[in-house]
Amino acid sequence: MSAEHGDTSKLVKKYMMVFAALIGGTILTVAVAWVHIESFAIAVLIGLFIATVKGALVALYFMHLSAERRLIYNVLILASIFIVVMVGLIMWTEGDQQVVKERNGAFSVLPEKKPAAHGAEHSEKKH
Amino acid sequence: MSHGIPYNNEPRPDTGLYNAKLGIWLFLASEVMLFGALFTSYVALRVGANSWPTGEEKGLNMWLAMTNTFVLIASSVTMVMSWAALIEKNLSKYRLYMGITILCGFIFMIIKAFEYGAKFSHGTFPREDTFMAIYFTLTGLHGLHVLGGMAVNAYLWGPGAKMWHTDPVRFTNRIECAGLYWHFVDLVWIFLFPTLYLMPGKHP
Repeated sequence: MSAEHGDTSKLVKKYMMVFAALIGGTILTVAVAWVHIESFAIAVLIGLFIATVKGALVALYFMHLSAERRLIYNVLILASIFIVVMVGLIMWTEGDQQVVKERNGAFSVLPEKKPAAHGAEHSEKKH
Repeated sequence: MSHGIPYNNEPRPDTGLYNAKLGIWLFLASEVMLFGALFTSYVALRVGANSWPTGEEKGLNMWLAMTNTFVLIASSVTMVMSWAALIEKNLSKYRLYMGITILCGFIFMIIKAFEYGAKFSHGTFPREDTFMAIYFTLTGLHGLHVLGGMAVNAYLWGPGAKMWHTDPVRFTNRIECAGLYWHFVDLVWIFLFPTLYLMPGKHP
């Protein structure tokens, strides 16, 4: 998209349609969050899908990516590959640590129940 | 005749783009890595936790965040409209839309300050737990990006607009590049909002 053409009426109409879609998408995101979905995976997928569609609309139309040169696409594809590799490596190591976490309850954000104190054993040892 | 760095207006023959556009997209690719790393941290912390609260359980106000989403989306529209106004060679219209964009940024930051203030007044800080740590990190870094964008936009609305009279094409390209950054900031919030405020919890 260059700074040369003067007729922007079609562009402005497109921007307003995208604006309406983004507002609608936001309301839909909140509405879906209010609905109790049994499966956590499906709830996350729906939320991510709506966010991805909204993000794509911003990128394609506001950022003019739909009319951009291939070089820009290549830059973004490269960044995406690095993101996927980074997430993949972290989740791979996360899987190795799962046994340790199940035993120790690491990163828990709710208070853990502490085991009962062994008061009787200690008093026997003192004598 | 151009002076200094060439290809500020006309595209380079090899890339097909003017220099600043390639530069800003490369910068945004690095920003994708920055926020991508933090989102990945969120995923890793959540997956590794025995339990994870919802935003509501931690006292996050979904309605304020939704309002902020509307504000940032509106600011994205006005940002691209300010660029379109320069294509129409209408400087007054550009100033109006850019001014509204900056105002929307202010509204976003005021709402964010209100949210943070409410947390701090209740004694909730990043050290509270892992959820609040990643919440403050993600939204704090995003807020700093909004402030940075506002500073650039304010310059381009004010003293920077003098370039319109000497080199209008280059100035229009500057607004396009500033717009790309601003839309990216909006894009990050589009993902932040459901992740922090709407995601279901995990309880043992």
